[in-house]
Amino acid sequence: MTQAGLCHGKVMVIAHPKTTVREISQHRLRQLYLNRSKKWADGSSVHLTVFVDQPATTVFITKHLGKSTAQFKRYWKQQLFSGKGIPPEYFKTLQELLQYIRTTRGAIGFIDCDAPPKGVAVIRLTE
Amino acid sequence: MKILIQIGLSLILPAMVQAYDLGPVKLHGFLSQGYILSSKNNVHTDNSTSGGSFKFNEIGLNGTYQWRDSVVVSGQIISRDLGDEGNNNLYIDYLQADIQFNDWFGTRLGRFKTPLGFYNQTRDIDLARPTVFLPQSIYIEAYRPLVASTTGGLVYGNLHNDNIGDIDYELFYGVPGEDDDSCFARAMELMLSGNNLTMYARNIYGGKLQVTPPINGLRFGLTLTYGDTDLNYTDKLSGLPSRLRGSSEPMAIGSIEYMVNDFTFASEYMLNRQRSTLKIGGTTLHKDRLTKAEGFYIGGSYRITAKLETTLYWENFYRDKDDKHGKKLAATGVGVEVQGWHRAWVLAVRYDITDWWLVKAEGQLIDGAAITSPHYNQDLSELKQHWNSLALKTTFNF
Repeated sequence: MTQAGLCHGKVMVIAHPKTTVREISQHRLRQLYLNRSKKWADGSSVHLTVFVDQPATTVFITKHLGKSTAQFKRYWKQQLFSGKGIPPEYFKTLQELLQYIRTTRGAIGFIDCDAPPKGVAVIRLTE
Repeated sequence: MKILIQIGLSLILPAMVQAYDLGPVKLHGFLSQGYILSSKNNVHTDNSTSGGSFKFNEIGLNGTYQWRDSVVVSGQIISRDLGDEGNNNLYIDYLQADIQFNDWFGTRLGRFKTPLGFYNQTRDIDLARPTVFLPQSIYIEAYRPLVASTTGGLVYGNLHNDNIGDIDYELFYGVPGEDDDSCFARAMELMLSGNNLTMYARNIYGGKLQVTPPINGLRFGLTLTYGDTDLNYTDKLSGLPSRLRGSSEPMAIGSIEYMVNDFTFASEYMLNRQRSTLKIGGTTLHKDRLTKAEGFYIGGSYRITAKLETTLYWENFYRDKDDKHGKKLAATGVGVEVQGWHRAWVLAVRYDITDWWLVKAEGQLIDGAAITSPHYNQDLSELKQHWNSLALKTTFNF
């Protein structure tokens, strides 16, 4: 399958290279990023990431999560300081993001479709 | 206080944006400093009318540790000061083990934030809201010691239905926080003409249901909370041991929030049915007296730019909805009519200077004195009906 075939709009979902997950629904992704679900199907914990400096981030947060980026950040501050969840790890460079996802079991993230997903698994995003 | 602020600053300022990682433990924190000024009536402090008060700060340090795939241990210590409340003593805001078995069932054991309306669990977190204060018609500052945190157990979960959307629930039972030195306790001491008042909160339990339908940005909530509180004191006049026992049966809060683009609309309604029995010595002065406190607010926020947000809301509160003009309260001799209600127009502006530093300003045009504590306004006959307040605040977080 081509890399383009795994794109959804401008967003490509990536995960730890040993993940057994091949596709994920928009609903499931939303549940993860809004802290309603914290575990993968095999019981391992999910580690969320956000790569700040890319167009896909705004698309992902507004289109798939239904929030503005400011609302998303505040939402996670509320979750964190009320003891409800661990917020996503934020990264400023693609290299740092990919390095984290490569080395953290259960990690998931999203990148621009034209960014190279070196050393990580790409997951198909379904309706 | 100075030492605490220095510790807080030394932790926060060097890092700012990212959390600290102490091995597997992630640390976050915040530090706020505020200023309150009011006309005519003192609010939250004893000198807000005379030049204003800087006795308004919070410092918090939060740690989370993913111990197992299903277990997260987390805690938060806070030092806060609001008038005579807190006095920058350190206390455990929460300390819990969060065990999630699956999406629809998890539990928090230990000390956890009490689910109450949409915003009680973040009431001490300035950066989590656009205003300086939460609406006092629902999140009454004086009751904070009783509702901020609970020690016990909570179960929670998420259920999804394609037609209904997401249903999130929290059910809890435990013992609330209490503070004999709180302004609430001191205000009750004054109102009851007592000495040496101690507060004992027997229990608190209830649940919160939140429905997020498949309409982006919309959510509804309902919270029911039950609890019993004993106030034991010595009656000043007779010198006899006395007791005021109160119970909520229940306190109900309905909530709605709708976020669309850069607008957020929110409204909440509270009805708190409280029964109280007052005994002085062996004599029962009243038994199972019912009062119905009622609160409501409606308003919205608009994010003008990525950094600038403004909020406008209107709120209304009755100490007892069957005594909207405070006449029964005044007739008992423990209060004055103007303490029967509180209505306010509130306008707030928040500016996020950076991701880790924000400033806020909030003005209130107020009618009524139900939220002013007798502790800060000991001559109740001097309470004025129409007054204003201004609050400024800045917050750092990492």
